[in-house]
Amino acid sequence: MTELREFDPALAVLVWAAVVAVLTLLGAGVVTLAGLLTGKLSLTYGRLGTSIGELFAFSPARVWALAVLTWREAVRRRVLLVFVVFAVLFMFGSWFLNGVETRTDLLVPRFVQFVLKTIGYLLFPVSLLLACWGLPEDIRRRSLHTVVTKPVRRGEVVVGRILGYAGVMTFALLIMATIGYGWIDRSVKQIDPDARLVSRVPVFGDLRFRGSRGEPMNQGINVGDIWTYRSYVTGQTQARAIFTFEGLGENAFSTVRTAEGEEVKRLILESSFEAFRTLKGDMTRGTLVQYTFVNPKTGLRVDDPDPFPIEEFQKNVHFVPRELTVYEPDADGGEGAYKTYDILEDLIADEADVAFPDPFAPDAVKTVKMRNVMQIEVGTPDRSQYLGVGQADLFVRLADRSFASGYFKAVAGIWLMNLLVITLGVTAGSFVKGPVATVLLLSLFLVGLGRTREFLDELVTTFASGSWDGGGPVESIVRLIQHMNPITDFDPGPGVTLMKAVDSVFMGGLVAVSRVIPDFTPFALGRFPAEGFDVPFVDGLLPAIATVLAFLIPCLVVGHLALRFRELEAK
Amino acid sequence: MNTLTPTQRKWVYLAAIVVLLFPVIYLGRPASLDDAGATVGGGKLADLRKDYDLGETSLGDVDPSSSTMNLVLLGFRGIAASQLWVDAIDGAQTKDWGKLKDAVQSIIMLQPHYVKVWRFQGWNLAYNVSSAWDNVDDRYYWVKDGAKFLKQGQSRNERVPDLAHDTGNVIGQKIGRADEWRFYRNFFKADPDTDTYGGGPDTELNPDGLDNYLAAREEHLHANELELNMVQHVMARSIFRSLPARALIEYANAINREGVFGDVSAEAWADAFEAWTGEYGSEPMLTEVGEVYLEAFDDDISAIAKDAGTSEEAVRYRINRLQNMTNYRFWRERCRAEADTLVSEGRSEIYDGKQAFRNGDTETAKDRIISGLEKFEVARQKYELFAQQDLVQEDIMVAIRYLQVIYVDLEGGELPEDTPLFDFWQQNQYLLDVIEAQFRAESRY
Repeated sequence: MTELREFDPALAVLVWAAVVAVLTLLGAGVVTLAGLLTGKLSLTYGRLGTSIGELFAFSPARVWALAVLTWREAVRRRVLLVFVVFAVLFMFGSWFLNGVETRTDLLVPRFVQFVLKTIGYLLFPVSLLLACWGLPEDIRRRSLHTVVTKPVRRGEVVVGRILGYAGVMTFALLIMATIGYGWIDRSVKQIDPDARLVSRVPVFGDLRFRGSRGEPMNQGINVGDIWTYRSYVTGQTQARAIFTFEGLGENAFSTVRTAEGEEVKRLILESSFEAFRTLKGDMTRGTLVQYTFVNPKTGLRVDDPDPFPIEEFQKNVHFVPRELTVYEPDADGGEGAYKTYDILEDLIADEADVAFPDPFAPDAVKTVKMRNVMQIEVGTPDRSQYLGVGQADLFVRLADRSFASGYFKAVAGIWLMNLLVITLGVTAGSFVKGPVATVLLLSLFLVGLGRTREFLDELVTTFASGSWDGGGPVESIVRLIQHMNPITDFDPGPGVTLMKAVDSVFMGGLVAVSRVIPDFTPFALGRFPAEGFDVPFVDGLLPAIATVLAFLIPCLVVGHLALRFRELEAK
Repeated sequence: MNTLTPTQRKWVYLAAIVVLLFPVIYLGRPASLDDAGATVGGGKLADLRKDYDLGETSLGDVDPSSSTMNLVLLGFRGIAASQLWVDAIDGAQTKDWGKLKDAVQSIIMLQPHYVKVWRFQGWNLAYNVSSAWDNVDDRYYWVKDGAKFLKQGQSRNERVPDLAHDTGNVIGQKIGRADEWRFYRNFFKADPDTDTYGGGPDTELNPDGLDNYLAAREEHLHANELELNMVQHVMARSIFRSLPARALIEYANAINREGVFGDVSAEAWADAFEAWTGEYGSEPMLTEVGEVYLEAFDDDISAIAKDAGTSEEAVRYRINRLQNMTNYRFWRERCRAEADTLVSEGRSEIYDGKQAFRNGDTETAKDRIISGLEKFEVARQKYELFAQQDLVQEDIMVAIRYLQVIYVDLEGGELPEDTPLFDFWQQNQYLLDVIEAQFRAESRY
């Protein structure tokens, strides 16, 4: 759990609306141009108007009939042979997976990823080929004629197709996912009969640091690790990693069974810090982790009375009772006394202004109003040892959900992705032929996934922020011809203004295109159940759902119009 | 132009197939295995494979999934392996050990006979991954994992001495010489994963519950046996062949470090002496003047010189050079001396003295250390080379350093001149810097 992406639904809707508006305007421009060139502007707009009107007059019965037809046709094409491949992979999967491994903590992610990846890889080509070849094939065999001569609207054909293929895909997915679930369960039980798979529900905090003299820092010490995800706090100094948790209340305490079989309420803090030793020290125990609970409103600080040795790269679960009794050497006028604090009452602030100082701008302290907030400071009391802390290394673990919860949400991710593929495929099939549609979709998929997507995103964000060296295409050409390096500034002048204006149109176009290419990364939710987490709704499932919806609506319109205005006679 | 009817054409094809079948069978008929596991029968290609040891089975165990992978990948094995290497390195950097292990397992499935892959990843697991963990149990798990990986490599490449050597190295040096050697050596006999091994050794690595150095010796002996038929690429041959005997020396040394003296220790050193002189000393080593061996006395040297038709001096020179490579004479003398109860008792007394010092009993400490040093003084006269080697010199200096602390720091006096080996102490003052860290660590002073 090292990558957490935050999703802002309002911003997403805004970007979507803007892109749709731009594309609609572009489309309207093209239609107007066509109307003007043919001299039949009013007729063109009239037909367009009727077509759009048709979109709002769908008949569920007709759509259903078309969907059932599509389903039958898909089954006739032996789509379900995919199960055979699936079965073969599962029969021999364990050859490649188990190896000599005995650690369940290393094996479970492997099993879960194997199942989810297998399902994903098998289903994707099926959805792609079905969706891309369906409509063009109908047109080629002229079977679509028999449909469109009936009182069926073109949009309904598109929706019916999408629904039908989605039905086949859903059926296949459900069966595979259920078998896969059983397989994971069985494989894990074979290795460790006591293993219990769960989906953990984490509450993550915001991470800041404090240096060894108490100064605010954005990052801890770098101990020379190539991987900069974790940075380190020095032991037995004032250095701390500070996590700010919001939204903690009664629900943060989960029921835990103690060794005596008693059921008690505990705050569960799960961590995955890393130790860095500058000397071997005591090798029989791990470096100690010390939590300090801080109320950001009152400033009350309570040390956790129970520091624990770290167990690296494993799940360090720490149970904190609601009432903490700690010895305070300064209490009672320097006499020292034991004091008891209630986490919920004394340490979680209902509402507080939490300051996030910026070490690079000491005067500009960012203050955020937060509710039900508590800070947990992390340090180590071991002298000369360091503790590595990363963003997702500490979380409050709420009551666990069943493993099925996380697993089937990840399956839902696969389902949504295939739904998107089907939607795009059917739409593409409504205006180009099968092979072209397939290649189109494959390209979209390759561009929308992994490194290419990262590159596109980076291009767009750096260009928008103005930190892109060398400018757009025109500026680049000018620089090439003039042998200018990318960071030398141009002397201002009308030519330069014009050049930049033209470039911003180009780059604006690129931004629009990059938004039109679907982002396939939100669908990869397998890492959550693989690492034993539940899939969060807002940062996990919602982006996937939003992506599908964002394409579904424009695709319906495009598909409907394409079929409406297309010459279906043409082969 | 084709004048045949379709039916005739089909007959022609059939005839051609039947005719071609004969050379195909003659050339390509696969060999089968008899009860003893040897290949029998087979066509011309199978024979050639057998003659030139080119078949997979002649290299080691064949893993069916490995062969399947290679077939499934068609010609893309190289690309897949490269991508897996990228994954493995990425897994190591981001401390995703599961990913690293997966990638490594897949790489060896694609390249089961690429020895460098086994050697590199075995070392990576045992040395690099283990040190990234904080807990000593976890560290040991990865050391073990490296050794197991190398063993797996041995079974796939049964004739390669390098892998047997590396396994021996991890079991011997890594377990016996790491900072955590006390833990590791115990773990090797009683695995910390008591749930799986019930307090006994990891049966996959140490089925007989041996000491780690004795288990390492088995691996090195195996490596030496393989080395007779296939060149090793690890180190100079004379050093490589000395490793089984060295493992016994290390064993004796290690039990001394752990405070085991008396008969057990003397016997261990005697075994080491026997292996060093009898086993390693009589190994034929090829030189410019022909084969020589290290445990050679004047008679032997003249015999070798006579056989090779060269001067005794030429033979002596070659033997000397080989002996210097492994410090042969010193180890011979050291084993002989340590096997002597005199030295063994001396060490035992010094060890007891050090323990007494740590417990704050300086009188006993003084007593025992002086008595031990007296025995060392006698041994120094008896075995000429004994006190001329760094390790023994350091042992003596550390022992006298204890006395110095007692006499000077604690009692405010001076180190008496009648302290045994006092002259040695004065001659070797330059060693004080070297031994100080060791003294501080073990005395906790």
